Amino acid sequence: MNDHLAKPVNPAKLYRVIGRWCPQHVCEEAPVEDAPLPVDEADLAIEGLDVRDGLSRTLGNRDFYLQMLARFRDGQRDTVANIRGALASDRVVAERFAHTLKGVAGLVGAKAMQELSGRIEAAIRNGMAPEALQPLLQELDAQMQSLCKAIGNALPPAAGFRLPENSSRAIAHPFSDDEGP
Amino acid sequence: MTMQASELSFLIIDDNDVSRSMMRHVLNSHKYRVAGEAASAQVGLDMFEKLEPAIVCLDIGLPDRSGLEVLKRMKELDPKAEVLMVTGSNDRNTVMEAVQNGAAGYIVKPFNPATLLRTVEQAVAKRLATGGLLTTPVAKPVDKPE
Repeated sequence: MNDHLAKPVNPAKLYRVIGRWCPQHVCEEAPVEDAPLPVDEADLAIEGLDVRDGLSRTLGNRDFYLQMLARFRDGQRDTVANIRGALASDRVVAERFAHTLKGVAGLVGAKAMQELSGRIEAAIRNGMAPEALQPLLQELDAQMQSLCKAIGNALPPAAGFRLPENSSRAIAHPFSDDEGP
Repeated sequence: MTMQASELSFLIIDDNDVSRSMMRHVLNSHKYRVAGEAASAQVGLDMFEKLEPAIVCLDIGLPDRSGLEVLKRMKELDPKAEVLMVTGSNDRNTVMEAVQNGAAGYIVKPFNPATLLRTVEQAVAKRLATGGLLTTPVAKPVDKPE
């Protein structure tokens, strides 16, 4: 016997053992750490956002984070109107608008909006009437308007704002498609 | 044939561009190669057949078809493909269905880089170990077994 693996086999452990005997197959990526990232958010304060949390999700890359905020604003600013419109015709679609906002708000550090859109998503799923949803939607609308304005104030002038090297658009896509809601 | 983790290609399928871009950013930062992105199930399946990615990050809530259906189709097309489900919900039934249909892992939004990479690394390890890529004869160990 050269080595030992106990069942049930954990893939990562299996690979470590294989790597011990076949080093050419070992993944060379640095180990993932849970330690806080070295981000410098001191000069970036945006009302409605936990900037440190958002920056940590972009590995501390400030330019990339700002780019994501611009896309968030452009892609989500009509979400409340979209939810209201869909509530009358297709509640599944309305729920999906709220679900998408919940996820993307969390990614950029908009924690209050993440929580509120999650409540709206659940309320739609649980059959709450459109009239009863209005107070929540009004609150979300106010949050959205405030956040979009704050993001706009934080973004640098468009002419000088470009994606950093090696970012998502720096690599050619073999195909392209349109964005969903 | 030898294969490094950085040689494995990734496909990201998610209907939200911020989510796709942040996944790509984290993967690229760790030298993983993202071959393509798609915002819908149909485009994603077309790219899956053309690009033959080793690992897929697949959103469950796609506009035109459930990610769980896409997962089933992908496993029919290429059983070796490692498919990581990405979702804003950790509903137990959904997780169970994904696992039963061959999902390699589950990433809950909003994901953080460490969690995303841990899940990806497990899929990479599994793909490298079980994907028919280890054909080099076993040699002496580089250090003593623990």
